Amino acid sequence: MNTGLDTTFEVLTKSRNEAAGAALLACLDNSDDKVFNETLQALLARRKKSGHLEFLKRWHQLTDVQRSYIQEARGRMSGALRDAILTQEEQLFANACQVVEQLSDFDIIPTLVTLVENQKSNHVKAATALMQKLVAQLSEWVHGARDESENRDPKAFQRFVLESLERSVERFRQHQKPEIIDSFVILGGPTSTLLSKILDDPHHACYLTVINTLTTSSSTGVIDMLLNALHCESTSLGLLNVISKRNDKKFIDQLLDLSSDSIPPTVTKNLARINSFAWLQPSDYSFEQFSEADKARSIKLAAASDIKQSKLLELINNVLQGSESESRFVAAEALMSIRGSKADEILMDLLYDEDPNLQAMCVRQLRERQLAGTKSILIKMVDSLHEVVREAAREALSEFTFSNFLVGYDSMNGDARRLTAMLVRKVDLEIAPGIISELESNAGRRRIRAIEMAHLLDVVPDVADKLIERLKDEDHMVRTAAATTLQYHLTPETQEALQQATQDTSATVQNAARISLSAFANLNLPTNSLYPMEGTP
Amino acid sequence: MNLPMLHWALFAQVSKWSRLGDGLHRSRGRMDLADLIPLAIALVIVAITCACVAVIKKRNDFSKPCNDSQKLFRELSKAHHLNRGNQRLLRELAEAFQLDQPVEVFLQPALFEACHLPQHMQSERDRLTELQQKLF
Repeated sequence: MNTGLDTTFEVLTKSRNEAAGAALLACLDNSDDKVFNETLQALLARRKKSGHLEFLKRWHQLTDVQRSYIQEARGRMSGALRDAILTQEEQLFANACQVVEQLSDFDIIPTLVTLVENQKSNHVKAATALMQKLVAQLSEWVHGARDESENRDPKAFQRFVLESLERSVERFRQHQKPEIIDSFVILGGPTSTLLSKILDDPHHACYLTVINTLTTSSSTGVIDMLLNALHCESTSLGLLNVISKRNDKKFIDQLLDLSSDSIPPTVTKNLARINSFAWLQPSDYSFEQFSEADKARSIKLAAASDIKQSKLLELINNVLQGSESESRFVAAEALMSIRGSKADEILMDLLYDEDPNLQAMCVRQLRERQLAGTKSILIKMVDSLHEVVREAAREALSEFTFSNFLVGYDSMNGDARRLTAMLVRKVDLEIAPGIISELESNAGRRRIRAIEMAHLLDVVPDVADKLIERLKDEDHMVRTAAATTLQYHLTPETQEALQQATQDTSATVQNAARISLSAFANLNLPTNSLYPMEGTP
Repeated sequence: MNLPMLHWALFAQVSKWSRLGDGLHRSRGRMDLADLIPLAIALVIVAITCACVAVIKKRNDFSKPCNDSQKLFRELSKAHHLNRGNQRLLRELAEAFQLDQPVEVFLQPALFEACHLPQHMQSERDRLTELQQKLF
């Protein structure tokens, strides 16, 4: 329930009669605590600069609770704060600075910029510090996660503040305040037209100051700006130079994050324009001090850049000496881009590394290097104990497929066919479907060839059913070839089919079937054995 | 049936209308300025009434921006439902303490304390205590 005093303050707060403000100001000095607190709140709620200024004058005497009333007045205080910032009164200025910081009142930044430029003011130092603090806050706000409870638009503030900073940057020759340039760079970002203009013009009055800020600032805004620049299509060389010169941990950590996954094409394109990184040179925080994982990530970046191959090889060697398999794998992967005997030597050593993934990575690179003996190494690797290595070797020998074998089959002599078939058998894991397709061909010659290939490629067990079907082929030559080949797959079904073939109308087929059946007898094995007799034709 | 006939008779004498009413004042055939005095007095009274209404309306319209401490006093009195007697008493209190604005009495409970009251207001002590309870 409202008390009488509440009613009075409600009227005084809402009244459009200016005498209300004067009445409130009058009772600030001679009233009890409750009335005083209510008066403060009413003064803040009224949109009168005189009342707000009075509040600011008393700020340093207020309790925390009384100071908290100002949160409600955020957005209404700008006029009074502006006057207080520009005042010559020390206490009022100090109070205003505290309030601006507490309220994060970015509207006041242009006023601070004006004050910072003023050579005669006694408050330049404090105003500069406050301006930098607010710009840093605004930059964090713009680049950070959106706070749902905050209904102000950071981008709108950024535009508004940037306008005043850009105007001040253009007056740099007069004021010579590098802090203003810092603030402009932090807030401007890579999309700022003025920043690009400065970076493209080494004779610009602000060029050195801008470069210095970009190289040394640890502000999130600056770091984000530099990293965002790597994602842009037309990044200025000046910015890329700055990126190459930075070797502070905060920046490097974020730069290395770019190579955690695959590096985006635009970043790769920009990295290719960088021919050195400061963190590759010995310093307080350089490659030597990186963790193994960071070393691996840095190698990915270095490999994408334009640094000297000898330097990259040095880094790769360094990581390969480590124990972390993931990092060593990345280093081995980076070898791919390096040509020369030294890189070949490292690669050949890694072929017999304990880590099968590393071996596989090297096997994949082997063919492109066209080293002597590559094919024999790959053929050995096809029989590796590790599936990942076998797969890599099969990829490297990808020309040895059934389809290629089929194309060249007729032009090969017996030895070449046997040797190639041996390789195809190892490399191509999908031979049977090809053979079956050929067995179903309309041309008898192709069917006969497929039966021969099934034998050479050692897939008779896989296509036995189809071969049995061929025993009833219209072409007696095909039936003969099928009967001959079926001796390599000794099963009761084969035996039965061959028995029937002995009743074939063709004597040649009958003869072939009998010879194959004799293999069963000679083998003296159980009739369900899957193994052919050794030395059979 | 007779009425339309009379109408026609009246319209037939339309040329004599300008003399209509002459017969009421046989002594004077024409109207002079003195005849307008009662009318003017009536108009002045209406104008004064309108002006008074406007002034009163403006005086009690608290929604318009202004800088008037007396009006603010009335606004607060209205919000607290104070009668004329109480309003007068509060003004006297403000005068007694020589306050810059009479509205300050609404913000200073200490002024109502009996011990602070000037001699000539001691007789109103009870009413002021009652008002203090109402206002604070």
